[in-house]
Amino acid sequence: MNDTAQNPSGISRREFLVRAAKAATTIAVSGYAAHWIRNRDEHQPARAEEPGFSFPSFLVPGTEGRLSIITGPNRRRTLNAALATMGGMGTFIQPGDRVLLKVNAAFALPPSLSATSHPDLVSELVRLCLDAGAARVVVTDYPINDATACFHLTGIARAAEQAGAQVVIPREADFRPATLAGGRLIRNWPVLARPFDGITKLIGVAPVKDHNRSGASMALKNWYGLLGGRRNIFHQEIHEIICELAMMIRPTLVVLDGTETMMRNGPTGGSLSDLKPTHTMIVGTDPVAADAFGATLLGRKAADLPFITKAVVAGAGTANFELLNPIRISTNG
Amino acid sequence: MSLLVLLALIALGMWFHQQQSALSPAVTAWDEAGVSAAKQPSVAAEADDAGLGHLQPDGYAVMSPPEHFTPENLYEKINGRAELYLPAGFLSLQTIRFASRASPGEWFELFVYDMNTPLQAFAVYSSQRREDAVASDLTDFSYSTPNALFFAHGRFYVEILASSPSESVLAAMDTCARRFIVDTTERAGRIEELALFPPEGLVPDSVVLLIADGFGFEQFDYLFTATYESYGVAVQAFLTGRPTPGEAVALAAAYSEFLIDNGAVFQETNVSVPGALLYNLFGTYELVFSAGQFVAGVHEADSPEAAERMAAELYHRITRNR
Repeated sequence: MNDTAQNPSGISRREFLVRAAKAATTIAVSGYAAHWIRNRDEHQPARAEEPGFSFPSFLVPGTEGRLSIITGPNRRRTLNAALATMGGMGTFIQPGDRVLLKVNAAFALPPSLSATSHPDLVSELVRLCLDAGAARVVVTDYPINDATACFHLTGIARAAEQAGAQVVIPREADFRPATLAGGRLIRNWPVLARPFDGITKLIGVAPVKDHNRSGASMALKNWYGLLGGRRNIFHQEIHEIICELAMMIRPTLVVLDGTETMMRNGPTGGSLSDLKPTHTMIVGTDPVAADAFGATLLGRKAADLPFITKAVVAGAGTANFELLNPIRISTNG
Repeated sequence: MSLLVLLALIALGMWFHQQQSALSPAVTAWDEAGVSAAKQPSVAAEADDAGLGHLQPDGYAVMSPPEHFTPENLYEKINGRAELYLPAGFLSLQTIRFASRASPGEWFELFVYDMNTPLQAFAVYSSQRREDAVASDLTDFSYSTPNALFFAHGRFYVEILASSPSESVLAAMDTCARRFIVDTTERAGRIEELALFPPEGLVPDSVVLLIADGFGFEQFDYLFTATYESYGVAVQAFLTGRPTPGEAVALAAAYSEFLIDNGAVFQETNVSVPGALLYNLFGTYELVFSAGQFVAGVHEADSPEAAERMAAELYHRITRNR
């Protein structure tokens, strides 16, 4: 048999080899092209072996362990009183800072139900940041369901924008995979990353709420809104994931709003009768300590909430808030 | 030569396979979760929402499209609260918002949970009942709070939440609720167990149905509890039905073992309830017995006398109604 010999199908050996070579070349070129397209976009999730996104520490050196507990019914007053005890917002925000305000906008519910960050608090924080010289304030959260409605109906979008902030409603391209060193759950998991581009300070602002699964939703649980993907799978290990978030996120400041505490039926609530006027604003740089005090507004102890215990063991903060010598002030009206 | 080409093609195929298999879990999670949900009208577009739009009260307009949720994505709407509904037999949730044409800032949202059975609807209704609720005449199981209506109707559990507690929006919510009840083919189901609790001293609307793990005991499913305030003390009575009396006897024995395993100490009792067992559990008293196909008893009583008194009344009520 030679190269020109005809087989029963009428294709010569040479022709077969030429066609096969063309086919292989086509596949190889297509494959390489697909590989190049897939990897050229920096916003595509990283491959398993790549380091991925990580949050820097936003804590201002020298402000560790600050905690103020201010009582009073007016959110703006208690917030300002709390910051005044710490030297004012200027202690945390310097001119030119780019600030991200991580709100809780998880549900499309009216602000009166206290299931989300209150718009008065959001607008006041934005104003204080800008007055302190912040170049930009970004307000964001990832509520999953109908984010636009969540930001709109909670009053957060309007409050933030009127105060001069930019509201970022997350899109697919805003997420990048992150891995927490030493973490078991946050491994190559998509987190809300793009809004953090260029950000120099991070402030978390959350209400004090009962939570059906974790026992309480406060400053630490608020970071849950930075997770993308099918994050509900973490509900089975809710205390562990909150602990890992506590390890991953080191904010500049947290503002825990216990003006109206959702005592039951959380985290959504739904009835004004789920709320109790506890009239307390907690502001600090240790989210674990803030949550430990917040638990008392719910009639619980820090030890009742395993995520706090885990966060302490992980070195994310202290549950013994009295060790921080919190400043307590009562405001009138 | 042909063998070489074949081997090259196989190698190429393996390379492609490896590349596809190496997709990051983040990507998978991303795609499945639909991180892009914000740019889509979400699952609402596929919803069978035929039952809600017509509930629009006069002077109100549909404010946002109806949404439909299944057990797979309920958490998207109510987050951690989904864990309360899912073990109780949740099938679906439909929601819709209506806004006042005259005052668009006044709106309300209707949540219709299909819990599959009236018992399961009662379970989620009763376990969330607000303490300061005002009884409503909507259904046998209904109440209002300053800004909301809550009721169970057949297999449905319904919540209607107002943006603000204005009289006009509350009236519109009431209209919407009544239309739902009239238009729903589902009819209210009678819950026989409720009649087994003695009416004397029963705190109104205090009966709660726990679908699973009642008192932390995994065999206590479909457990009814009721709170009593008599003789100046609060006592909690409980009961649950089994298919046969034999199974009830076995369950009562299993609960006794559970109590002992958790530190309870047996205590003699002269209560006039056949087979009743009394335990001291770290200073509170547990009493359990079976009566026919029911297991019943008293939970966390402050004194043995309070437990015995309540147990006797409960036993006689059950045996009279059997």
